[in-house]
Parts: sequence; structure tokens; C-alpha cells
Amino acid sequence: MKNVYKILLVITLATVLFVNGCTKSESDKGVDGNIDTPVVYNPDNDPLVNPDSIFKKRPKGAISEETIFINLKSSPNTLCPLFSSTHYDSIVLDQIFESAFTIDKKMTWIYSENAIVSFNESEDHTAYIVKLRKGVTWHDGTPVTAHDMVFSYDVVLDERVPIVSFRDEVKNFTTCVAIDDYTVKYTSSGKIATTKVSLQSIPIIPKHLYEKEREAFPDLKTGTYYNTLARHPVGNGPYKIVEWIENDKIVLERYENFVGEKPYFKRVVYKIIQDLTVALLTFEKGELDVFEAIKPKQFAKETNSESFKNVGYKACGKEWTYDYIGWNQDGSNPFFNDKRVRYAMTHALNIDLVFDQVYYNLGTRCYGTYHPDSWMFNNNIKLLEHDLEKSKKLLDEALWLIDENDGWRYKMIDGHKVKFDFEIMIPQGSATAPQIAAIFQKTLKKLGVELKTRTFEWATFIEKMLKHEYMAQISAWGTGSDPDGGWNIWRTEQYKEGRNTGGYANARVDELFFQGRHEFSKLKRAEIYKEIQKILYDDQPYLWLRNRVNLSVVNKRISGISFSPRGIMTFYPSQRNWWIDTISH
Amino acid sequence: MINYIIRRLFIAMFTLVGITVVTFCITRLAPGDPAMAMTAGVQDPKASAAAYEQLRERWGLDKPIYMQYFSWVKGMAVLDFGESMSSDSRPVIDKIRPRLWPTMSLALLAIGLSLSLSIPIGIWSAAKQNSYFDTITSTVLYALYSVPSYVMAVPLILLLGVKWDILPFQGMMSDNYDTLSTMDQLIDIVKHYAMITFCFSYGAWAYYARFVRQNMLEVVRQDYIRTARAKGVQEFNIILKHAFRNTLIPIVTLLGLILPEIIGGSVILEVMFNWPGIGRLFFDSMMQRDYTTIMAISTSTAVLVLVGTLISDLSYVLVDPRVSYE
Repeated sequence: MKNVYKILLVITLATVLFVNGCTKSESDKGVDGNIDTPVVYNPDNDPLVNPDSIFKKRPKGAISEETIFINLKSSPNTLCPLFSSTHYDSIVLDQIFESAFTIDKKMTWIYSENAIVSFNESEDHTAYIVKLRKGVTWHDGTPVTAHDMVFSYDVVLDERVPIVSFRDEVKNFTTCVAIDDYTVKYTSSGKIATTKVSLQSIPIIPKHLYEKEREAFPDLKTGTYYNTLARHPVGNGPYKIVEWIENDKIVLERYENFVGEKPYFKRVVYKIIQDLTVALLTFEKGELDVFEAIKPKQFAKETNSESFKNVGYKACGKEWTYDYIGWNQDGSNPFFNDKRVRYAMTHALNIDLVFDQVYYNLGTRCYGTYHPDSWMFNNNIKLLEHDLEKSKKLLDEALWLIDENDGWRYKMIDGHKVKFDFEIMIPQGSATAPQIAAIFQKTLKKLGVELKTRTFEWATFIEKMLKHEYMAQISAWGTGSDPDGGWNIWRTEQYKEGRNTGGYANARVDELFFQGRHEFSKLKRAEIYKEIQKILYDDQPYLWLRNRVNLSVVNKRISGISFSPRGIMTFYPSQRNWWIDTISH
Repeated sequence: MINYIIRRLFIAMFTLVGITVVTFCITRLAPGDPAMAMTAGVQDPKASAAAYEQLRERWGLDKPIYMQYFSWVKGMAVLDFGESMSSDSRPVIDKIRPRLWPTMSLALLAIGLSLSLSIPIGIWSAAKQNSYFDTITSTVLYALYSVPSYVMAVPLILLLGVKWDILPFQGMMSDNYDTLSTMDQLIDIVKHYAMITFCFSYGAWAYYARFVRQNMLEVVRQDYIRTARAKGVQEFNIILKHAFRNTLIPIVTLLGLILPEIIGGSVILEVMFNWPGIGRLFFDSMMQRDYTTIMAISTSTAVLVLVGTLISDLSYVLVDPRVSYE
């Protein structure tokens, strides 16, 4: 073939590819389909977000033979409640096992009427009497009794069983005995206010099944019998397990002998799809009904296409989780143990820009540790705003002065000239941290501060945090159902033992946490935690970035969704109240 | 010949021991360990510290490293791969077994596809050097070669899976597989294999085709080919009977080296297509520092590499009469 023609062919092919690749695509159009609309996303202007139909409450007793398909981003590790440690374990376990004590959508402690008839707490908080509901059975037909609850308590405290998450909480209860077949009595010291909450942490497992090979395998984990039990659990909940195909799906079927309120769907199929892009495409094909926790970018830009609009809606609900930049102020670096420097950093970040470009306006401004919707929120906090002049002033005051020769800031420490040059640690897989760091880097350069980033995979990131080997890091915390959970993040001694990886130390905060743990009056507790929130915000051990929102996509046929501070799934009754509104369709 | 084989096996054993020692030590040197990976998310630090110690003891991580290695070797001697160091604690062999077939079948299919496409293309390109066919196939194959498999996967899924909806892109079979007739079940499986096999194999087409073409061109320049032509042998017979046989030599050696690919799998493709294979298991085990699973998979791959090179070298003897190991 003549050389000229060959070259022409190649150039034509290249041009075709180039033109195709470089034109604007669907996702660059604004939500109204117009390519010239400015592309800053705001969920308030998105017609697909939070339509009324998805929240419509399920009529009492409504039930069907339908199947619902839900996405799980990762396979559960185990379906034995004793060893469950991840969010994905809980999502499936919540359906198979009925917890006696749980939280509702307002994060209030409740007991489940499907399992418990009454709950009595003595005046001095030392005794708790629980009366079980009669007629509740395990999926193999055996009745659930007080002996199962006592057995479960014993097993949790048995040192031979490798329980990772909640043993210490359960130790708050000094004894647990069965008064009769349907009554259990717990006793405790009566001094700790969060004891009642710890009841949520004791899973109930079937005694008649778990005691079978206990002598041979006291850890309740090894051996074929226990392995099978962990993969094919026998629970007391509204769904029983049909099959678990490794890395593919978990299929549940409604337990028709469930004495409590039966859920709407006859079958629940949890599809395990790790890749979020592929999961979204599967959703658009109509093969998934609910997909919780999609990325902000997907929510803003990849869910406006025709194929999406045909099948789904978007749900955006407030979550009690915040993103933050944590400073290491234990003295290992010369920068962040100075409060003026931390304030300068907060004033330096253009938070509105971050919200527009990184978060796509999905989330709200953060006022510190507690969420504005919570009972312990202090609404007298004034946010520190973006103000480069203030930053400059504070850095000058802290003696980080600009060197005219190269524009960077230096400070004389012990006779040496130290440059303000720090490194921020980012966990691999974070959807937003690298972009935030990039925006921050640009602004800090104007101030004469150099910011470098380093990404670590998760296990290494955790190890470095626990060893305090960092200067700054970006991650997130969730507020648990009780603010006492902050004890091991903020108290001084938790630098050695707990999650206070940055070495924050404030004696008043230490004292307040102690008071909060022992105060039984809700009003007084609220005052205590409000004060904690104010002190923490004033000290700025963190640069609080945003309060997150839960982002999910829901198929048009689904209703009954409610939001909770933990998302749409892990509270009571969440998934069980989802239904298909056949009346209006 | 027997002596040669025995010698090679001996060397292979030493190599295997070396590989396992290095892998064993490297995984344990990386920051973090499976106990930390499991207890890191726990809220209460006292509970997590106690659990951490308990797990370390359970998995023998508190013992010195040479003792850990010896216990592992003891287990391997009876083919006991041990228990997975993750929260499901299943025997490693149970975790690997269901994933062997998906990965192996995919790899074998991909290799078969690559070879059956690239060998004819390579031969024809060499026979008709610089023709339209030669140039166009080279361009197209190189274009394919330059696109990474995961980049190719997304538009394929979008087009074939979502927009035109002709092929599925999740898992090995549809949700309603059990309700289908046998014929439909077969079709369902073929459809599921289609996209991922393509993505897994196309990168190799350019490589193999080029390889075959290059070797053919060299062979075709040989004197004996010129003689055959002079004698009046048909071009078709020259290419296939005389030339191609001699290009088999390098191809056969290539096959031996492909063997380890069979168990390696591709992590990215397996994640994207939700394919229950070994690649993904390996990746997840690395993230969780699941030492026993990592060792099991690495050792099996190492064994396959060694077996592969041995087969490769032995088949050299069979295919090339000039070579002998006496």
C-alpha cells in the first residue's frame, strides 16, 4: 500500500477519535439539560432529588410477593452476630436477627416490640428487667427464650471467644440471669449513664445451636459446624437466609412464622457489586432497586442522563458524620501546637469553593463535633470564615514570617530557620480528600505555606495515625448514638490508648466527659456536651470541613424510605418499611 | 533426559523455597497486620487492644518470624493451607476453591481465543507482507493493544450492556438462571463470558500476532524455503507445512510461560465485571493483610511458573530435533 495513503488513513482515524473524545458530553450539561447552564451543582435545584413518592409511608399490614434488589459495596465477612464488624455485616444481620434493643430513625434508644413486651429500669439504675414476647421462634422453629439471652451474655464475656467490637460495653452489666423462661434480669453498678445504651450491643444467638460444639471449639468460630452456622445463620428476625453465593449475592426470604410486623417484600436480594460505576450502570438497567452511598460526583453529574431518569430518583438525607482535617499537635511538628496557626489554617481554606467544586453542595457547614439536629448541639457557635487577611495576621503573630527572597514563611526555632512546609496524609480511595488538598495547596501558597500530600492505603493510614506519625490528615468521624462515644477521641489520656491521635489535651474537656458519662438527667447531659462542643470548636484541633449527607439512588417504584443520622439502612425499622406503592402507580 | 528433569526439579525446589521465604517476610514487613486490620475500626480502645492481642495469639503472630515460617511449611507439607486471617476465619482452601474455575476457565478461553485469532493473522500477514491486510490488521491490533483493559471495559459495558442491552456484564450467570432451560442456560453462560473474555484477551492479540509474523518472516527467508519454491511446491504447502512448523518452536515455549497467567487473573476486570475470581481474592487479601491466603495464592502461582518453565523447556526438545538434553 502506498505510503501516502497509509499516512492519510492514520490521520483520519486519529481525527475521528479526537473529535469524539473532546466534545462535551451528557454529564457536562446542567440539570435542566442545557449545555450553557453553569455547572455548579446544587441538590436543591435538582428535580430528581427527594421526590415525595419515595417517602410515602407503608400502610399497616401491607405485604406482597415481590422481590427487592439492594446493592452492597462489599461482601459481608460473616453473618454471625458475635463476630460482625462491618457496616455490610449489619445491613444483612438486621434482617435475619431481631435485636431486642436498637435505635430508631432519630437515634433514640428503643426496644423492639417484635421481641420485647416490657422493659423496666430500677430507680437507682442498678437493675433492668426485660420481659420477652412469647411465641417468637428461631427460624428452625425453636422458641426464643430468656435462656438464649443469658447464654448470649455469657458468650460475649467468655474470653475464649474472639469478640472484637463490644465486649467492654457489655462488661457494664455485672450479671445477667433468667428469672423465668421469658424474663431476664441484668444488674449493673448504677453509676454509668450509658449502660442502658450498651444493651444494644449484646446480640442474641440461639443457645441450642451454639452450645452444641462448644466443648470442642470454645471460640465458637473454628470447625465446620460453626463455619456453616456463620454462613447460614439461624435467626429470629423477619427474614431467613436462602443462599449466600460468595461475592455475588445474598438471598433472603420472608419468615412466614414471624410473630411481629412482617415486612413488605417476600424476597430480598443483596447484590454485591464493588465497583461503583458498574453498580450505577446496573441500577440504570433496572436491576437494582436501592443503592446507598454513591459518590458525590456520581450524584451530581452521572445521574442526569435519560437512562437514569427513566428508572430512578435520588435521595439526599442528613447524616451525623463530618469530614475534617486533623492536626497533630503533640509537638512532633513545630506548626500545629500553636492555636494561632490552627486558626490561620481554618481562615485560609476557601470552604465555599470546596463545597461548590468538591462536594457539589452535597452537605452542610459543620459547627464542630455535634450535628445541628442532635439534642446535644450548641447553637451559639460562630463559624470561622474564609479570610486570608486574618490568616496572614495570625501567622505573623505566631512568628512565621515571610522571607522576601523566596516567598515562603520561616520561623526561628532554637537558632534554626524552619520553613512552614507540612505534609497532609490522605487515605487511599477517598473521593474528595485529594481535591480538597489541591485547593488548599493553592491558597496556602499565596500565604507562603507549602503543603504536600501523601496517600496511604487504609491499613497503613490507620497504623500511622495510631503511632502519631503524621502532621495533618483528612478523614471523617461519625457521631454514634451517644455523645459519650467521643470519650476516646478527645480525652487527654486517649493519646496513648485511644483515638486521640493528634494529642489534644484540655483538662476541662476531660472533666466534662467524665461528668457526662455519670449524669443521668438528659437535660444536664445536654448542657455538658454543648459546652464540650464549644470548647472544641474554640480550640480548633480539627479544621471541620462539612457535615455529610447520605446519597442514595432509589428505583421509582420504591417508597417508604426514611432518613436517619446513619443513612437509610441501619436503624429500626428502615429496610423493613420499604414497599411498592401499587395504588398510585 | 531423566537426569535433566531430576536436576531441574531439584533446582525448582530450591527456587520455590526461596520464593516462599521472600514472600513470607515481605508480607510481614509491610506496616499493619491482619489483627490490626480487623480491630482498627473499633470504637473502644481497650476492647480493641484486648481483641488485638487475642487475634495475634490465635494466628501465631506473636512468635518469632522463623517459627511462623516453619509452622507454615509444616502445614504445607500436608497441603494444609491454614485458616484465613480475616473475620470469616474459613480454611483458605475453601476460599480459593470456588474461585479457581472462574479464573481458570476465563484464562484458558482468553488464551485459546488469542491464539486461534493471532496465529492465522500472523501467518497471513507474513505471507502477504506489506499488503492491505498486513497494514490494517497491524494498525487495528496495535490500537487495541494500546488501550488498557479497564479503559476498554467501561465503554463496552455502557454500549453493549446498558445502551443496546445485548450482553450482561455482571457475574457468571443471570439471576433467573435456575428457571432457564438447559439450552438457555448455556446461552446465558456464553453471554456472560463474552465481554470479560474479550477484555481479558485482546491485549495479547497484537503481541502474539506480531510474534508469529516476525518468526514466520525469518523462517520464510531461509534457504530451504527458497529450495522448496524452486522445486515447485505450492505456496500454500510451503507456508503451512514447511514454514509454520518451524515457527511452532518459539510459540510452544511461549505457551509454557502463559501457564501462570491462568491462575493470576486480573483484579481490575474481576472487580468491574463482578467476576468471582482469584485476582480479586488476592487483592482483597493484600488489603486485609490476610497472610495465609496471600501465601497460598503466591505459592500456587510460583509452582505454576516453575512447572510452566519446565514444560516449556521440555517441549523444546519435542518440537526441535536439534535440541537434546543428554
